[in-house]
Amino acid sequence: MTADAAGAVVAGAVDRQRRTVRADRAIVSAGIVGLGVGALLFWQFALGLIIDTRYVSTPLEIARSIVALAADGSLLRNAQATLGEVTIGYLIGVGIGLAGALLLLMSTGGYEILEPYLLAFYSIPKIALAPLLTMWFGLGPTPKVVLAALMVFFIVFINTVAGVRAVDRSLVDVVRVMGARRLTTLRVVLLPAAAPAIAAAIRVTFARAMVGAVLAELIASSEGLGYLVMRASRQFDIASMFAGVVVIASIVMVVNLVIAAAERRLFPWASGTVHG
Amino acid sequence: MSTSAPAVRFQSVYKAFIARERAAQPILALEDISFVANPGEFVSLVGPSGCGKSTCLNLVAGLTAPSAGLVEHQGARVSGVNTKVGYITQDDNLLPWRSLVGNVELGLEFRGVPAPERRRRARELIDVVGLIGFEHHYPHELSGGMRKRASIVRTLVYDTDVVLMDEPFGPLDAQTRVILQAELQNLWQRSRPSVLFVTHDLVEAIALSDRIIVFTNRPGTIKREYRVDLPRPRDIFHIHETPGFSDLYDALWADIRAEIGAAHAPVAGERIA
Ligand SMILES: Nc1ncnc2c1ncn2[C@@H]1O[C@H](COP(=O)(O)OP(=O)(O)O)[C@@H](O)[C@H]1O
Ligand SMILES: [Mg+2]
Repeated sequence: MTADAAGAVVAGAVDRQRRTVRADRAIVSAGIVGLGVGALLFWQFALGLIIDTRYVSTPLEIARSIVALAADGSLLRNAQATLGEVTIGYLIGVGIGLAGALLLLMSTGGYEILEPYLLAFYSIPKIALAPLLTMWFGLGPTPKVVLAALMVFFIVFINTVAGVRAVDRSLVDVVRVMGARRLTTLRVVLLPAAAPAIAAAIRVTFARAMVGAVLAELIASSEGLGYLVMRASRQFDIASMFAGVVVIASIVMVVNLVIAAAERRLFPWASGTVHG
Repeated sequence: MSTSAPAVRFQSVYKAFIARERAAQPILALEDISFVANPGEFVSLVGPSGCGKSTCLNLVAGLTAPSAGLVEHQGARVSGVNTKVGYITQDDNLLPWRSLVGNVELGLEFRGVPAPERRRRARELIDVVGLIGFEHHYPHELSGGMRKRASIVRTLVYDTDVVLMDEPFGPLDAQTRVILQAELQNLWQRSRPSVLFVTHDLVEAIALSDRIIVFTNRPGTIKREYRVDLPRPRDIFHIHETPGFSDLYDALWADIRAEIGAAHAPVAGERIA
């Protein structure tokens, strides 16, 4: 066989393989869209035959409600309020989680001393603190920010500690013998090795920050997406309640996609698993 | 510190490890180990697995402390991590997020060597082991032999007077091993550090060493020392044809076989080797 002929054979094989992969992907995509559309159609036209649609609304009504909320400006105003609380709480939680973990890792025995207390703190269902935080900090954004931060802090903290501790001992030893001091070892070996685990924790905790902020809003608030849902529930406006839920979920999904994309660019060599 | 001090000296060194479970007995890994490695000398440590060879290297590197006795480097007691020796471990331990040249420059970086000189010295050694063109590849893009070369030059590039090597060629295929042994001999002759070299491979030990120290089963004690008087530079690829090789090999193998036999508590009629 000549080189040209061999090239043609390989190209043909590669082509066939690409077509198979594309076909498989098309089937999966069609399945995803089909399932979603099917569920919405069922909800819209058939669910009413089984249960009273007053309690579940319909996709079209929910869409109408979203449009109405957007039109009178309340959607944007409340979304902005919630997003502000979530972002600040999230950044505080990530910052304290990272800084706390690094400080303890640099100290001798610090983590061991604090570990039982941290585990005790971890076993508190943070959302049960919401009423308490509201009492302490009032109706404004503060309790929402604090609860969002609490929801984030521990996950980031524990994953940073676990990630750094999981780094291969002999890698660290070799680098120390090469002349790296403590801080240098942290910078050159420990943090890069733990980066995927840390990044994954930072990604998944955004949704938790949202849970914290919205929950605090549901307890007591005068603005925010949680407030919107709560107000709708007092008026027995099921469609608007769903509208709020859909908007909250959409924000979380979009932010997750953005963070995941950033993570893939920053740490192409690994994808981390998250503890907690 | 006199200039005639041995590069490395073990004096009646004992090392016991305390197992994690409270009930378990401590494990005595090394018992009354005394030997020296002189400046520029290539010394191999051989012996059955678990007899404490790696522990000896860790003691010189200061990663662990002796339970009793004295470990000296250039006449000074080793206490704490010893950054004045080079340590090449069995796993190549390259940083996956650094390119080949980034890995080779690490030790120079820690020593505060300015970037242009770092680059120059790293490139020079990368060239010696034939890896020019791969400087910007990441470890996962290199073959096992290339990674091993990288981990060796990464240690030799900052010129320590003692280099510790723990079964560096263990995981490689037979051809790559021999090629790397020859490259190591060349690299060693450039700057002539003292080398403490742990290996399972007796041919490799003879080919590279000035002296071979045979350890007994755990607790590791020194069973015998052999001087390797084959002339240098040696033809690593035909080392087994060198006069004197066979006698030395047979003597070493007889020692090792006795230790392996002892470890396996030979049953009557069991054939060993
Ligand atoms: N960190 C450690 N903790 C407990 N036991 C250890 C430790 N390091 C080595 N040992 C024990 O000491 C003995 C010698 O180990 P090692 O020096 O690795 O042997 P070799 O390198 O000759 O195979 C082994 O029995 C091993 O289990
Ligand atoms: Mg070993």
